[in-house]
Amino acid sequence: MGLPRIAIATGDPAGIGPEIALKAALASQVKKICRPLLVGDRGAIEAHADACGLEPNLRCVTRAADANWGDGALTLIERRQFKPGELHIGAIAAPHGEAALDSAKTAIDAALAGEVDAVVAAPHTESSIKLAGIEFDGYPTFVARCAGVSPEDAFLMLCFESGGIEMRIAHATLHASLRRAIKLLTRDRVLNAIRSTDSALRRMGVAHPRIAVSGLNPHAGEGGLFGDEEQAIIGPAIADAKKNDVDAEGPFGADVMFLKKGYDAFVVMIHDQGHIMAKTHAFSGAAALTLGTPVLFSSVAHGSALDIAGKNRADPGAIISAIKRLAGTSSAR
Amino acid sequence: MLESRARQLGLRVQLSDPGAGLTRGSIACLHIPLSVPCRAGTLDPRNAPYVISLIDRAIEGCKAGEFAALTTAPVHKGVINDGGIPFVGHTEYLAERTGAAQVVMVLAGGGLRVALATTHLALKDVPRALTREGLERTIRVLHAELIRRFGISAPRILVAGLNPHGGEGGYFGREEIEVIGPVLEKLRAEGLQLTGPLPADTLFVPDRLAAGDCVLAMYHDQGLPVLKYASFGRGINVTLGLPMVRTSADHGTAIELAGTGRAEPGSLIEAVEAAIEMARAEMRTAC
Repeated sequence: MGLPRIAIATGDPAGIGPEIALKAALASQVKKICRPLLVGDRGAIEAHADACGLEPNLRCVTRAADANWGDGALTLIERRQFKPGELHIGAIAAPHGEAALDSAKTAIDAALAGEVDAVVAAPHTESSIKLAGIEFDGYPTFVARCAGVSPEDAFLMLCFESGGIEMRIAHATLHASLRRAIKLLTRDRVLNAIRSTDSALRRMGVAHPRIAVSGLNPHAGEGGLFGDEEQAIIGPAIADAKKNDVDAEGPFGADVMFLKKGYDAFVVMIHDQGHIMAKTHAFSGAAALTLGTPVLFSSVAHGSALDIAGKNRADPGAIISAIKRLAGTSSAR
Repeated sequence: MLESRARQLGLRVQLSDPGAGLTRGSIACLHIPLSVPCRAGTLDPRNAPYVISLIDRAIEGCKAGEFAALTTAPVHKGVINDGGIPFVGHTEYLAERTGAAQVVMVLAGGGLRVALATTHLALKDVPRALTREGLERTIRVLHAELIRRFGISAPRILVAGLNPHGGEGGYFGREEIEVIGPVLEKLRAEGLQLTGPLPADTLFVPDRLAAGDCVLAMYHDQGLPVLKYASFGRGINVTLGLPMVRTSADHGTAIELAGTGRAEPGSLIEAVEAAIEMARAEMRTAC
């Protein structure tokens, strides 16, 4: 088996997505660890390449199966998203939102067909997707729908670097009110989140993942003093996971858990337990990995930066980090 | 007990009565006897009355003006309850014993101050516990005490929402619209500087924090993980709304470390220092 094939969905064509996708796919550090291919509109990608003075030798195909990495060409799975003059770099517009999700879906389909091993999606622009009238509440549910998995079974794991350590935080529930999130927590759901975290870590090259699981209540309920979800739901789910040979420990109080060393990932119960940590301590942003579907899928740690799009000012560092993570070459612990 | 623990740890220290003059290397100790003999690392519910009597004596002394402030070391809540004394935490106990109408728990460390609108209760009970009246009282106490105890003349408070993304306009919960928002509006009309309800996940970024003197989180785990991470476990706990200054270490009893000499006093030292500073700030504002 050769290097992993990684599809880069080029994101909002009006943003910096195509630029950072191109810069990453052409970078020698990326080509050393994977076989990248782009997904998007050819005219849009060429427009960004011109703006940045890049001369990619694009080979356009309609299916990832026809990709070829042998001769220095960069394979593009071509999507016809714009007619000449229809793309407005730097602008918010419905066709831009549609294009971003079309590229992502095409890449996901290629992964489902086994034609690529993982997908990274360059940044989209929420307002363009809203203008397009598409219901979108983040990639986990989007990937789940594309993969025919119940959106309830898809989880989000935020990945970022903090003080030289790769932090990974998976969420058992996400975009639900606090009241509803608590109702959604079942033994099955928590087990599923732990197992999905374990299997994604293995696919990312962690041979023996160690996972810390948070409680729901203050101090993880302090032995049942404040809430019983730890004893009735989370503890049993951890025991189930152990029976399935997953090295999971907990439940730990969420306030002290993140100080613990030696874990490859943390699993938290609700959105803010993980997102507050990530947004506060990920100085260069956090990438979001979708867990629980057959597709290994990551977003990039920043937005589409419409203000600097098409100006050759975008840094591909974050998308390269995401690719390294998917290729299993980012630092663990 | 303190003398035998010092011997066990190889610490050379002279304990003397508070009335006696202090000499180098001696510590004033108000003697309160154990209920039953104790061994480091072993919980004994029979000593629950002893633990409670320490707190009671300190409360009395603060009320009488004998002490300027109170700092508490960690207690084991479970074993006090096992000893037949209902006990949720220091904060709640002190509030009850001093008849404080509303106390507010604040954690400080790593350059941050985080107050909690709800403290030690099951998360599923938090939405119900969050009422307009309670939140209004909490904010009033917080505002007044930031002036009185911290010497901040015009406190700016950053208030978190309850739900992800601050409820996103009612899409992920309505507490921001029905409870938090109206309270903030009412108090702003009185001149309090309140920002919010803010999405909690972006509340702790440096630019945002620079615009406030204190964060008010809606529940325990919304406020504490970031603070503990930022302070490397050296945060302290402050109770506002009591008739006295009260601080404490922000960690537990760590029974497994008791008697080993491996316990770090960092947080407790910070707590004592903060108590001294707050007692001084109060004296200044009183002048």
